Amino acid sequence: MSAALKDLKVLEVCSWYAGPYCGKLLADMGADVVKVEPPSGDPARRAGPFPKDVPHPERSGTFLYLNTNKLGITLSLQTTTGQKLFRELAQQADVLLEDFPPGTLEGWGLGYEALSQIARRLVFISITPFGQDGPYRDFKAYPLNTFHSGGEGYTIPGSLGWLLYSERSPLKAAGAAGEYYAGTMGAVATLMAIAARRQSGMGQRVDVSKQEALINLSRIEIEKYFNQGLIESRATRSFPIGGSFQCKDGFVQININSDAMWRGLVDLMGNPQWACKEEYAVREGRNAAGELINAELAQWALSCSKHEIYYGGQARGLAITPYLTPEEVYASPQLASRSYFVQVQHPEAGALRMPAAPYRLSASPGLPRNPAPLLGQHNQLVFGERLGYSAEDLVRLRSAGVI
Amino acid sequence: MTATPLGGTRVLDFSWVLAGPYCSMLLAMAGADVIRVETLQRADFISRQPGTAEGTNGPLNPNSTPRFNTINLSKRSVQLDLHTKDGIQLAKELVRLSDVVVENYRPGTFARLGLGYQDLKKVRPDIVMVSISGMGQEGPESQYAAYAANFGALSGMGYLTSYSDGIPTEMRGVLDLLTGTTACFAVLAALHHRSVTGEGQYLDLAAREVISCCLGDLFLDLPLNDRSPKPAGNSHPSVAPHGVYPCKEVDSWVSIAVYADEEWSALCAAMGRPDLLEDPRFRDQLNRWRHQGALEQQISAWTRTYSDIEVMRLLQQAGVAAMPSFSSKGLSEDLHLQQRQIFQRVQHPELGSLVVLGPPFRLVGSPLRIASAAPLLGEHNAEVFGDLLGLSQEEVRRLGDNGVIN
Repeated sequence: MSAALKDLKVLEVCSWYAGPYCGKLLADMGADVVKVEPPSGDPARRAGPFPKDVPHPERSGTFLYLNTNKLGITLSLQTTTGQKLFRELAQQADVLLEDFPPGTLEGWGLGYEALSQIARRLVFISITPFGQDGPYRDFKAYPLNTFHSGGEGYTIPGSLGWLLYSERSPLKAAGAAGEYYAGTMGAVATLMAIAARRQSGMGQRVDVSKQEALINLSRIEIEKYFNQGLIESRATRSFPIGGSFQCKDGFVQININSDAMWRGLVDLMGNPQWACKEEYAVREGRNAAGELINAELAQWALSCSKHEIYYGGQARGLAITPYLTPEEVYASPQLASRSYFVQVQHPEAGALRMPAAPYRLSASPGLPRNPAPLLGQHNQLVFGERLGYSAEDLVRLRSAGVI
Repeated sequence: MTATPLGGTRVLDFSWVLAGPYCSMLLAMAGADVIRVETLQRADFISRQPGTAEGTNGPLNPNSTPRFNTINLSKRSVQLDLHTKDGIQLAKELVRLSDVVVENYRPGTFARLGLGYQDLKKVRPDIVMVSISGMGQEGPESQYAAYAANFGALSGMGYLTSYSDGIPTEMRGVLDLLTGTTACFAVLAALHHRSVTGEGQYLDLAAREVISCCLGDLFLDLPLNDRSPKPAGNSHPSVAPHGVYPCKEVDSWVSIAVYADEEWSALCAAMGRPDLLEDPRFRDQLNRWRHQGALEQQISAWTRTYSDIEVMRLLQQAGVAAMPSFSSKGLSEDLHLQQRQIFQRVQHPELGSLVVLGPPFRLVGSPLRIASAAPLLGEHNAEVFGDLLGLSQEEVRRLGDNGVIN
């Protein structure tokens, strides 16, 4: 059994989250990904979490997670020699993945027009906040800004979060989630372009706008404005009954979508008198008394632990789940039974338990087997063995600050 | 111009609700022939029926929601009752002519119908089959019920998406579509593998696992420091200002992030507040971060006097990262998106003209496209059973009378 993409060669010139996550999905699926860093390193190396909170470029949790299975080289693209080496690398690649501000690579003579002349099978993917054209093309955006430009932020937090904090601002999803979403979309775009190449033999230019990727994932909510005149916001998001509820030791999510589920919930609660009202047996009756029911549910949930409600509810077929902390996610028996976490050994940061992959493939499994590269770790392999430069050449390139 | 990426690929889509249909719609936009297999007995009423997902009862018309339309564009639809022997037989006939099967029933259900991977492999040895579920196909919790907010909760996303002193957030449908997108990537990888080796395979996706993967950088605090990460709202672990600030109109907001000292100087200049540059509380990144509460007050006082778009323009001109927290209305009026032509119109036979989002990215050489509105239930019975499977009109009619095509 071999990984699915093992015949694909990818050149990644990306930093932070979105481009590197796209590269990681390809690398963990078996692609040969060469990550090009400037001599100062991917700035993600300066982001935590670090062991004991002491910054160190080889111990950044962000970098270590997002760059598994990649080869790492350093190259200064501002230098003429660096540009020459980059062209040679592009000629050997199937995919170039880049995330510079639009026009940057063109400025170095490394844009699509130039590279497609010497590598016509090259799939050239750009992942940027707002795409390669349009009035915002050159706008600056960090992950916070990109996320909020995509429409989902305006609706977070809804439900109980809105009731409690309606004077506060909209929120982004945790961490750099939006960047991961955009990177996933970039990975789909990459393989579609590769599929097109299987038919045509030709590479092409691919333009991934992170904002548009995010908007697409919110398409149902966003289109309601066009087709129904409804603006989804934090305020519009409550279900008539159910939602998130506080327990003794955290929170649970209770979704009740049918009469049968309601009966199961009443049973789980021990058939309290308030819940056995005849009018609550049907959806209309429950919805009409939504606030009252939710107030009772809140009372009840407070007297239980979240796992009591989880297992008790699921035993009755109810869509009830606990809000897990990251520590609890790591301890989940379900995830353990599926070997969701794998251990990756890194020479500087030690043993790192991390999520293996967002899927399981029966015939071509892909996992993060090798740790993220040290800065310039594979210069010798890539410039020496693959491009044929001598040891002396490498010394010269290093002293000239090219690698 | 190069080829349509997935021209000549056929996808049989047994999925419903959101994650599966979005996966197959991405394939359809890339030129795959996607055939939905549905039945009136178990139509995708969560999506096809108006209002059901929002908790109200609507009339039972399977063709009447924009929600169904927008994640089933460019597909065909046939009806098959999979609880009949003939229905299963016909489904297998279609599998024989397909490259990919997508399903997101409760784990085990599809196999009990006789359509598990082992069954389908006998019919079509190189089939790529993807099953999408909340928890995965195996494990002690595999049979558990879950919707987007539930896997959001189990993945850690719900807990971590919160003000630092807040409560967990009930996440919504975006997570379904993310799961569908990830499934699409896995399908494309499996098709690539098949093109090289000739070998098909089975793909198992669990939504909670997809989502947890998008938190990996935060999660690494556990192995590195034995410390479980906490929610942080819009704030950043070392950078300030980094937040979302109120603007002039009701419930309108702008995000602003300042990483570098020159961005801070530019922000102060744009706000007409050179005095802040002299304020010792804000003199460097560390101090700005320490005094982010005070900073927020200063910035909010300024942003409140402008619209979100005005703040964006003033700050972007100065080289500061600022974007509105866009509402759907804001997005609909946005000049950048209009120029990028991301909104399109499709003509739906029952709903009329609808606005939908176009493909999520641009393949310049072989563009994705929307070929048609979502299919009506069973719209393509005649052409699929007739033209593709070669059944006579009479046989199709008989299967309809017997309730197999139903």
